[in-house]
Amino acid sequence: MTLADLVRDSPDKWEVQLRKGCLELAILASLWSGRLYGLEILRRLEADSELVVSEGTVYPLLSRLKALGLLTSEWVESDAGHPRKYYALTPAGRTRALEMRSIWQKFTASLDSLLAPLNQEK
Amino acid sequence: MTLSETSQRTLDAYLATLHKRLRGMPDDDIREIVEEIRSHVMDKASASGIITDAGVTSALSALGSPEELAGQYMTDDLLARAQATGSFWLILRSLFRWASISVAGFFVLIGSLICYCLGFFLAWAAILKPLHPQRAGLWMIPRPGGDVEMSLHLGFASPPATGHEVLGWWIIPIGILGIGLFFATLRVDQWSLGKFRRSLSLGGRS
Amino acid sequence: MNAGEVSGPSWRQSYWLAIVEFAVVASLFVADIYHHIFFSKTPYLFLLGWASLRLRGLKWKDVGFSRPRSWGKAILAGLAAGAAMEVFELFVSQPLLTRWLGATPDLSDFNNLVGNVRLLVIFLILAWTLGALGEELVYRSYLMNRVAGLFSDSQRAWILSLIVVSVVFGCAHLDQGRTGMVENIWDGLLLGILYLGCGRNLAVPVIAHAFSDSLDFVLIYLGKYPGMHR
Repeated sequence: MTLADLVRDSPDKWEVQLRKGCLELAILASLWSGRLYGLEILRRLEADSELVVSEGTVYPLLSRLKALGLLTSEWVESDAGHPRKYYALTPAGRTRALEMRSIWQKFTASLDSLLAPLNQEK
Repeated sequence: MTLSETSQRTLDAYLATLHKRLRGMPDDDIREIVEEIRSHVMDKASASGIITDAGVTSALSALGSPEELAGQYMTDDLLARAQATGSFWLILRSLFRWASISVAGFFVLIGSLICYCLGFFLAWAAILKPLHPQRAGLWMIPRPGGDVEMSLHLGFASPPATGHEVLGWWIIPIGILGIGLFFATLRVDQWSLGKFRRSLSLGGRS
Repeated sequence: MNAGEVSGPSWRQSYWLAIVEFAVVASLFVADIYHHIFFSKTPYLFLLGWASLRLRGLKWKDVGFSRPRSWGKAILAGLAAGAAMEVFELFVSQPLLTRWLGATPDLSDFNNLVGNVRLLVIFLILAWTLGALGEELVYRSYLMNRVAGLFSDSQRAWILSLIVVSVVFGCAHLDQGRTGMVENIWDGLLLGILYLGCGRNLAVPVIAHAFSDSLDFVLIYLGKYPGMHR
């Protein structure tokens, strides 16, 4: 994905890329208050942030975050008959989430100031 | 909760393909991934406690094809293991994977292969020089038509009829530097694969 | 994510530097083969070793150029070892090697020594300084430590280093022909073992090396060295 691709493609595709870029932070944030399993994380992202991303992206990303030491996982028996894989933040994951949060805030703040003139238009 | 026969078969077929495509990863990891996906489909496909066939189909299509899904898992696992072990074979596989994903990866692969081959063959010519003093080394062979062919001989065949060997015993220190080139390329590849891996978790294609 | 770089930059520097150093050592050997080097490559190798130690923050005394625990014992041991090496060489290894490889060692460089007292004195001085001290500093102190250091100074690293440096030491004496080269590989092994056995101290190997070389020179001078009769 190059800059040329971003410019050339439709706004929808750009939005998808944008959502993808925030996904790591969104997942870490969703796990802040407690552990969740995959589908719960997906539903939380959908509900709280309208962040609909394909499941085919989320599960490998969860695996990746666990390999990086930001998450732990455990299998828990459920009353539905099959076990579920719950994820939780590690201390490293919490630190990373805070880091990303501050980068995000700085970024949106500076972007907002750039976008101020556009706010005149309706 | 139970699935109908057709749904069971569809799900099993999907997971079997997924399992097959994940080969190369550690067995425990493959088992966990397959179980997690199975668990996900069962949960997603059930509305008010009953699993419907339509639910299973739509859950599977939302996941994407098993090949693509496996691809996403494989790339990161390969890169992680290549980085952790620094193994030449894993790094090479990672480079090939990167090359199949982006143009930058393709150029890194080509450049790396050239450096690895050069370093490797220079080292071998140097090692074999004491055994084949007249034949191992860098040969300049004039070709009909005015060209000069430059080739690195390890010394096993008889020496070329025309042309002469240019480096003499200097091939030995150069071969040592060739070993250095090989390992330097390995380090550079490890570093750039690390950067590539980080770029993936920020949402790039994999 | 730099899990592999636990030891930090100093290890890194050592690794790349070592490859370059070995290439320079090989270049000096090759230059010697092509007769670009006046008289002996030992001084050049010594300078390289000195630079290498400096760069790694070491001194010669860190690699064995220091007082032995007991001078008396060191001298005795050195002389005994040197004599033993000489006897073994004259009566066992050289005859065997000459038979197997078909030639005596090529000591034509020393032809002028026969019956020449002045040259004998010069050669004896050279043997003790350039020959023994110089070569021990270069091959045992510098090179053996350098090679072993590449593999973290483990026991296997030192065994590898002993073998590799002994072969290199042999190659340093290619002007003595094939037999001379093999003899020197053997001597290198013995001197290396002496170095390691004396707590990596240079005193005993230097004395042994110098004494055995001195015996050689005296024998050549007297015209009694096998293969070099008047």
